[in-house]
Amino acid sequence: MTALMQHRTSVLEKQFNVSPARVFAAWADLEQRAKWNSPSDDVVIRYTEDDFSVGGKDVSLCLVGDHIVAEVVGVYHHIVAGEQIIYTEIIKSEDQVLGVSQVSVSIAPEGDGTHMVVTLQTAAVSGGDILDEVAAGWTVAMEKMKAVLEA
Amino acid sequence: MANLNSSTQSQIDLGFHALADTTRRAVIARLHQGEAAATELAEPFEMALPSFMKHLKVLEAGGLIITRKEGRKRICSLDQKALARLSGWINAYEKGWQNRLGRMDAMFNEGDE
Repeated sequence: MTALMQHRTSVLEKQFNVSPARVFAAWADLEQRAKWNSPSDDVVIRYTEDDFSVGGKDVSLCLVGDHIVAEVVGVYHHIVAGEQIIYTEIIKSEDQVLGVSQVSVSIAPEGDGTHMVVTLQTAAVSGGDILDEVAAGWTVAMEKMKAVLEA
Repeated sequence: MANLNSSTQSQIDLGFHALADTTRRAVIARLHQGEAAATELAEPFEMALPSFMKHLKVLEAGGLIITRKEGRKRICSLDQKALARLSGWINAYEKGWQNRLGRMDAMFNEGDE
């Protein structure tokens, strides 16, 4: 009973001037995925497991310099070549889960290119620290009270 | 408690008063699972809504919960700062994905050249 949780669904859409097969390969092929799958210029992704298949696991470390800032554990649940990918990823830091996200990718031809929709259904969680903060506040209050009573 | 700074003393009094009731402790326990509307919080209790709202006022005065109006609803939460931290994390995660898709586009364009 100590944790808090926040949810959000984010829909990201993108139009590319390449074929759906090419866009799908950017997800399926590790070498290609490694080129784009970093959240920022400062973060280097190092893959420790890579199994792009239904039930397969994809594990990566996010590094800033030599420092591991997060571990991402992905599991693929649904793959239709050239069209759809659904996977979940768990984002951890020092073994503490920060968030869990279901990533649904829809790839479809549009004009001369491809329309891609990535839907993120994310839950961010906090561990016991929230209650610890509340408890710490009360400990201070009790100590103040004790000091006054014993004065 | 005569020597205690009067505002600190009253805050402590209000806080303990807020927790000295089973209904109010149950509300705190429920809010650990996430924010909720006052009407939703009132459901498990067999009391009129105005009486329940008095309990929420006591909790708020004791600094244990924060409430805000959302349309006609009054939303209660335990710790707004903690929730704001979680929302901030989701914002960063979403931004990270926008960056990823931008990189993917750049990769395709590089390949075309």
